[in-house]
Amino acid sequence: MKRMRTIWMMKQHNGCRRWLRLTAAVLLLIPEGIAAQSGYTAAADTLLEQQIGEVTVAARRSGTKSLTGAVGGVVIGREELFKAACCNLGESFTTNPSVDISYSDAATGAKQIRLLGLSGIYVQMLTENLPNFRGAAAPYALDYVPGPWMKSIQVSKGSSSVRNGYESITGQIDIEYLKPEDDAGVTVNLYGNTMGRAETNADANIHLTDRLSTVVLAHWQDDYGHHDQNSDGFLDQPNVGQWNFQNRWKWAGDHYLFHGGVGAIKERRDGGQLSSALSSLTSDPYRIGIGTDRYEGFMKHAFILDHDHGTNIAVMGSISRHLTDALYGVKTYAASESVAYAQLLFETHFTEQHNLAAGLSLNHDALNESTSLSTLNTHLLTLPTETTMGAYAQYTYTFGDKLTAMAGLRADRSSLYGTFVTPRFHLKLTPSDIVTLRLSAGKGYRSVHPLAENHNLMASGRQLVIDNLQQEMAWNYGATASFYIPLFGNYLKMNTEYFYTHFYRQAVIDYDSNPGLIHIANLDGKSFSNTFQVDASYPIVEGLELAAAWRWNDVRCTYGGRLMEKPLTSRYKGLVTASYKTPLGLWQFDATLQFNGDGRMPTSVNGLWDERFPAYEQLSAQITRWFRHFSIYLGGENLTGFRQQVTIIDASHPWSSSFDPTMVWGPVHGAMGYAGVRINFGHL
Amino acid sequence: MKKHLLLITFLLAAAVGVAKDIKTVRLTTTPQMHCENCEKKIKGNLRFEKGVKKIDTSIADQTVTVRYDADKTSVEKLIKAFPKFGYQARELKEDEKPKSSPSK
Repeated sequence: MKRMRTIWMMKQHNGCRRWLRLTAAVLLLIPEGIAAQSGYTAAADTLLEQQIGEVTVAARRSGTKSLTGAVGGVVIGREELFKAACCNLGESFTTNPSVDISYSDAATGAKQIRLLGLSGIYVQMLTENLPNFRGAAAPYALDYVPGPWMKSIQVSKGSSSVRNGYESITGQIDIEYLKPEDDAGVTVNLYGNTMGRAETNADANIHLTDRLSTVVLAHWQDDYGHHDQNSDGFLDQPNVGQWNFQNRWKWAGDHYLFHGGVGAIKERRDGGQLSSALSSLTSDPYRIGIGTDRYEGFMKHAFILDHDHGTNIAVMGSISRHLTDALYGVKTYAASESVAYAQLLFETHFTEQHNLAAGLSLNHDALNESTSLSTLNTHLLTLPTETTMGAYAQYTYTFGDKLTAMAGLRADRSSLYGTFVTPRFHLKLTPSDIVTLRLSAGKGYRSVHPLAENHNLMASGRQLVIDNLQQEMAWNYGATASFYIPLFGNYLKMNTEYFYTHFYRQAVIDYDSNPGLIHIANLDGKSFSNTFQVDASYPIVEGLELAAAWRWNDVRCTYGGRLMEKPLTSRYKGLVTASYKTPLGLWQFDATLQFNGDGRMPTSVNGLWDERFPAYEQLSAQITRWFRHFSIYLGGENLTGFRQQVTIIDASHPWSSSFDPTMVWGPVHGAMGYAGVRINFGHL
Repeated sequence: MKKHLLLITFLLAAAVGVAKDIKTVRLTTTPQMHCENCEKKIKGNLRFEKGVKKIDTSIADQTVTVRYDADKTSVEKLIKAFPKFGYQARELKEDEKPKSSPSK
């Protein structure tokens, strides 16, 4: 028995070493997105390395960490994700200032990321460092990633590396799922809230051999509530039922690594007028129903040619098939989109100072749409398939911890838009342990799928008109300064950043020119965004960390020849968070207070709404208790109970042209409580 | 005055009664700790043992220093907890230095 126990303990010990080896190898496999970006700032990194030998459980690790590479940004880890229930990706940004999430309409529950004050479509979404959730998947993509599946989220602001393509105008979000090589075992998460939502998540890791491991991820959710807090006869949010499944595999040899997997999502959204409102209706009820089926698969192969120089060749590919069938009252929309992506990349460190990465990419995007809308230009519904071939090279010069300069250039040839070139440049300076400076400039492009990305606008009673749109093009410039200041025996982490995005070509959603239309047209005039952010965090006492952030947005666009403030966009955003963990980490208390600034509403029609929406605050809090094999959490969102009173314009006349559920700027529901349990069943 | 003395005596007695017998023990493990993951595993499991107040680990010194409530647990019980998560532990003598840190 003793011998068996010794063998088992040796396995554990070997596992530790193997983990180190695999981690090193994986860093080779995964390009810039992770290898150069993960971890802390250089200064913080050095200090933590020194401290790591003698840490206590109470020495809390920060939930978010700065990226270390030339591209600035943050990594949101599990510690941060556990501060709130984080049912899905869209709810993962409530406790930190990296990204804003807003509802884009009240009827379908579509949520949108806002980065640098601009729509989430300008952020490139990646999963495991491969582009994902494009086109038809964009409107509800934030709901496709269950919170408990995520290991970390990397958010980089401003132009990114050219490796992942020419998109990412305002930034990049890369989701890292739980890994096959993580500790073997089964974890189940059960969640329920006072709005009638129930969720179950499960993940299981199996290590079949020393080199081969797999992870199975499963998710189910359903809404049983039929809430209409503002008594307008419409559901405040649609009831969403979703099944989500993934299986990923990893094989790690000394010179070859494989990572691949498959996934499937089935989702149903039901919204619109409530049955209880039917008796008082004089016409048919206005119903919204959106059904989605999504299938995806990916694989990565990495061949490590020279360990000493980190020379490796990697081949990556992904495919997805996305099917949507939507009903907005009497309007119908259906889309089927197939996307295939492949990338070949080579990387080597000539010396410690010089790194070269080069690669080829191929993207094939086939979108078929059909709709009952008669006002659309018919050519949009037979949008030709777009195939884009690209090549890039990126050179990085590193001078110790003091300087990193990265220059990248890529050329792509699109079957729709011809040849275009994407230059990007990043500079990182660390003149001392206290300060890190970053400068960036880069060009970005985006192919527009106007109806696939915005079919939720069909819920509006306005006429939807879509012009023949150009490929979008913008430049983004950024400057950031990060400080790591010794203060009263601890470190104050402070960050200031400024980003400027200038659109030269853009698809503009115009509510202002004509009150009877939503007109998606090519930009004719100026369109830009200025954002300035200051954020800081400090561990006040052992276990208690305070963080605060403030961001000013100046986002303007030309609508009908007039340069105007972008509608439904807050002028500022503030955030204060407090997080306390008891010395052994058995209890955790988290609270977040958000300040959302005022902003402009689209030009009012017949005085149906005000010219501006007001500033408002939101409070959320959570208590977590950890036990050896499980943890329970209890929390509340929007505890101040503030909600937008009129979320649907002219809700009593859903078939009229003035009916509009797309004018949403604030929370659609009041205070909400939730509870959940995470159970770890250990080894299989 | 007598009442005050009585009260003070009572409070002192109560304080002595509830005063915890907090002790510290230095342990070393087999196998040795190599990385942050080893530390996490030890601290992540040991913290749920009854009476544990604080845990410090040092890869460089190969020590696990535990502050504990002697009324609720003992060194023997703490040592018995280690095999649950794949380690053996023994108490270090006062000036004993365990074997040097393994190379990473």
